[in-house]
Amino acid sequence: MFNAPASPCGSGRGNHESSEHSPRSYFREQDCFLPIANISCIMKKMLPSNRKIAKDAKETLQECVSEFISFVTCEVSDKCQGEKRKTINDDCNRTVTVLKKEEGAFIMLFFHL
Amino acid sequence: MVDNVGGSSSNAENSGIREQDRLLPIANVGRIMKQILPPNAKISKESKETMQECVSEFISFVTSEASEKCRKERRKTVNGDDICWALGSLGFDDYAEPLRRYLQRYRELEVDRGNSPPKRE
Repeated sequence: MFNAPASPCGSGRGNHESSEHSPRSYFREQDCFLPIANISCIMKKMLPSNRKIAKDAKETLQECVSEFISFVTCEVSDKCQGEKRKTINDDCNRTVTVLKKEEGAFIMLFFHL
Repeated sequence: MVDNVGGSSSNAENSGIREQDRLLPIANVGRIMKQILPPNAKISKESKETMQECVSEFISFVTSEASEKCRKERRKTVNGDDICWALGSLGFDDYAEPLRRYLQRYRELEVDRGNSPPKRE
């Protein structure tokens, strides 16, 4: 494994596929991304049984969900600072509601929550 | 080659949220959230759990859109371009263009290392 073997991070779950052959091996994957095996598992639930997932599709979505988490967290953080609070709590749910109203895609996205 | 991903173990506690929404490790979710916040900020457990659920839904949503495109084009493999297309199609344009550039760079590096680009079926 290209990355440092000893990790202070708690979660060791999820295997990193071919990280030594990927340009992304320059990142500490456990710090920047969610485990690709978990993402792949969720993706497969949405696909017919004969559909396959290319590695670059998994990694593209892996990158994307990190950005998504950062985006939502940033929105919530701005709100907390405006209210002089340090703990993000129900605001996560409220931000989701706001996002629903602001963009049609988000409405569809969170329809089932 | 078909990827054979073993089922990931999930946390035994279940507070009414579907188990499949807990497939992403909450520690990783929390860590990514922490990176964007000031050092003195705290993140409640509920926020992490909500984010876990949102992200699972997001992945399912994008994957479903990409899969439909493959079906129409009679292809069996979902690739990175399909994901980028799905993001644009669903209104996440801000994500789609940077990821296209990422994919292009990714493939250049793969070729430089002697690996063939991902095959289209």
